[in-house]
Amino acid sequence: MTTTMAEPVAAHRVPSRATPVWAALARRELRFTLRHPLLLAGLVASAWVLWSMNPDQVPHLGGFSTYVGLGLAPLAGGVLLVGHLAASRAQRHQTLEIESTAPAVQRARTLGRLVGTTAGAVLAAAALTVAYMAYLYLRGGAGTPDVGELLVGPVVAGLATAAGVAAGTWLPNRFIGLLALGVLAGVQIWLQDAPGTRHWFAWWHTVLWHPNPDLWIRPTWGHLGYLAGVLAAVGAVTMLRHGLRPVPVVLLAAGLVTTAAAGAVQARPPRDAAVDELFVHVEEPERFWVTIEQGSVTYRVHPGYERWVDKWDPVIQRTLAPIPVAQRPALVVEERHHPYLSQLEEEFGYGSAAADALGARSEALDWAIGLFGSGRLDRWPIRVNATTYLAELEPLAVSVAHRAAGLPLAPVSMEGRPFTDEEIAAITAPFVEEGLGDGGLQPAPPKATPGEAPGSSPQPGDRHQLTLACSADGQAREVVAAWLAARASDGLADSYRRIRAGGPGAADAGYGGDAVYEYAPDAGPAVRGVSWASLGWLRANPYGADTSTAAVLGSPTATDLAAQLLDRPQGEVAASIAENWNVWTDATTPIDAIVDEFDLEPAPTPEQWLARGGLDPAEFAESLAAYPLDLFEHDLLGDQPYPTCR
Amino acid sequence: MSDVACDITDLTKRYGSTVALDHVTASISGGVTGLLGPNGAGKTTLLRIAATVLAPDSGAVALLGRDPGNARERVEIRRRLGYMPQEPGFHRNFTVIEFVDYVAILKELTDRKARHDEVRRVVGLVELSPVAHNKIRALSGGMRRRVALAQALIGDPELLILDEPTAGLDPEQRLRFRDTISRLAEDRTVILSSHQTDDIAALCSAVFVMDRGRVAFRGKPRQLTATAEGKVWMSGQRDPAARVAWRTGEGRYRHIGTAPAGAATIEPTIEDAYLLLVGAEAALTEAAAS
Repeated sequence: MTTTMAEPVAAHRVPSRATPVWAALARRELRFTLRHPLLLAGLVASAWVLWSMNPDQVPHLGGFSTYVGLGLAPLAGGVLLVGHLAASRAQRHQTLEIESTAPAVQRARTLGRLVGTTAGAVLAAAALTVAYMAYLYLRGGAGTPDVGELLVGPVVAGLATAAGVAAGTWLPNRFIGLLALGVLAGVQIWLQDAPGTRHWFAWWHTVLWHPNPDLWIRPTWGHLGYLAGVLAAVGAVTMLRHGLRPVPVVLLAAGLVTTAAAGAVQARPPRDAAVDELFVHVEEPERFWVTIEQGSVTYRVHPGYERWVDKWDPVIQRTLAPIPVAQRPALVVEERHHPYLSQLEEEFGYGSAAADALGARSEALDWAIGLFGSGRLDRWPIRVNATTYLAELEPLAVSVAHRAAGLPLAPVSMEGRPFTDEEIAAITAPFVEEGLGDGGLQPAPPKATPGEAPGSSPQPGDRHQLTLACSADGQAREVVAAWLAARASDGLADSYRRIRAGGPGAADAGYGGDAVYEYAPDAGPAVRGVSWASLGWLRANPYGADTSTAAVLGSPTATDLAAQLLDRPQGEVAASIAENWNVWTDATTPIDAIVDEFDLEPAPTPEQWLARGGLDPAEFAESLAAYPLDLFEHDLLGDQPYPTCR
Repeated sequence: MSDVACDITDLTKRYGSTVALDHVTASISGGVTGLLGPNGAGKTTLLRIAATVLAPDSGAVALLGRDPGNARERVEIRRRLGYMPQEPGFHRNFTVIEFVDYVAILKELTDRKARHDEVRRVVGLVELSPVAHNKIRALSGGMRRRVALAQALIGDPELLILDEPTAGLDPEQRLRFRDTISRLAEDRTVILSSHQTDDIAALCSAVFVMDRGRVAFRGKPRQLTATAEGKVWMSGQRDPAARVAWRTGEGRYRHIGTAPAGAATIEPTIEDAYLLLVGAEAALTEAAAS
């Protein structure tokens, strides 16, 4: 054993105080925070939440920016606990005696912990946000991230941490952190669900499946100011634990004023200029479009979305490939914005002047949107603050194929003219009498014109906002179109094959095509059975559209035959179709001609379809009669209420 | 400025109805001063007041010539003070280096390089360099006490207050501690409490024996030992007249008290004197506790 000291007792008598203690401590706390297991767990959970939100959608970087606030909520929960643990560490580990004999005063220690842990949380959140955007970009994301919305996540993480430090400073009990987390989460949930404008005061907005439509015109910087005000107030409250000193008092006052002012700004209905700007984007997209020519196809996209053309073009070219060059249509693919303006009234309170004004404009806008596409290839509109589905390539292929095969493209522009009132009355008569709900089929008010009172009676020849499709059942060109689209899209091909093998219920309809659950129509008791709405979706889904936007009804027969064509030698099928392209795409060429030409099996009857899907046709018909909610179900039973595509 | 590092006058401290310190007066300067006394004698309370952890109820305290009751002067005192509590707590997920570094920041060593140098120095001083990057929770009790000493040594304090620094250490570790403390005391004031009378004898230039909140003895260790001269004797039988007696490993009985006539007195140790001073009951309790 040696008792000789290896080193002499050196002299370090003069402490260096160039850097404030709180700053040095903050650096140290930042490092502790960044490696804290709760922060790491929060990061993992947040990454999972971000990844799981709309994983099947093509990222729209601006719209997806609004996911960050909710996505980082687990991280915020974790760092709240980290902040609390840091603030209560000395009490929990009984190091107060050591700390209290150090020259650093208590408020310097608290300030260091507050700044360090908050900065650590913000840094971690910012890193995850950047990684998220990078991931989305690599997944094909386009557009410009919304910096304000992106900042909401890190600021909320910092705010939660500061709240944890405040709780730990005032109440250093180890369980207070969990209690604070529960209370804060409860307050957030309460605010999220609050009616009127109160929901704006939640720290973030719950946007699970579609970004909140109003976020597009929400004053994001007002929301950030509101969060910053709360953060300042929480920090001041933390520091007031060590006495009523001027700086925290002033900070508290400034924080409260900022919270109130910015809170009012963020909850205020949008300025006319902001609404005008939004409407200009929707109504006059040509003012913003960048035009790209690729062969016979013209693409018009908003700046920042050019890279999506590289994604669309191969699908379009694959769809067109079997068609003789001279027969290929000249196509225009446009990227359009479609905000959910109809929800603005709800967001800003019914009955307010602003809501009324917004409601009128959104109604007019909906009408305008309904007119899209006449004479042009109109791809599914891309919304300003929403996203397009990853499956967008499928409806794109379908649209191209339909256009090439001479089928209509837009529900209300069939044959280049709108439905007449007489046609609408004929179609809807059996169901209007039953009293369709708000979500059902109703003639929309006519487009308002200057000097005309809203709500005046529809006039013959007026165009109506009806989402009606036509039926191409029995036409060979529908099989050709389905085959063309499926050639270009593996997803469509798989879907067709699944439907052929298992009936409509076998298709992945996006939301429970084969689900059985409680469904309660507005006017009736709960019915346990297959969701009628889902079946309606199924009817349109083979074409990747939904029941409100399909131009041509999906036909199980065409789907079945197209799936059979896909299993034939593709070179032979393509050559045969190209050779008689004009015949196959003639509306009068019957579907039996395709069956004979390629020696296909006849498609199942509607009853056989239902049976394949595990449904009892008799029960289905009985339920349908009781709850006539959707024309598509009637069509599925062969009760054809739709006009024929011409 | 006075050379007296710790000047205490008529100090009283109560915890409810319990009197922890009862009009204690002491003046401590240079070298190592030891506090001896049974549990509850007031040693830790006195050290905590000297370390500015506690404020007295009455009486006057001057530390390094400054008044700890004044906030500004208290900070100045703390800049020159190192304190090792009796039961130091640790952030157990921290490594040795991290913990000492953390305390160094609190001691205003905010320049990173200078602080890291100082942290390495004190960790080396207590011979913890090989485990410097180990988590504190993985260290033995003896190592943890060395971590506590290391943090107390940060900044080379003028006044070092150590509350039972050798408790729970094995003999080798105690010897190392002694060596470290004796070196440190060459140019500063060290106040330590201990139940280990041999530590006091080996290290201290002055000793206070405390009993029930009062100072029962003050002086040099040899003076304390001298109080037992002629009051320690050996015999083959337990002598009921002795205040304290125990059977040694050799089968004979060592007695402390008023030696009977003709008894074969022997050279006393400081422990004999301590036991004689604080009384049998307290001493036996103390011995059991030790």
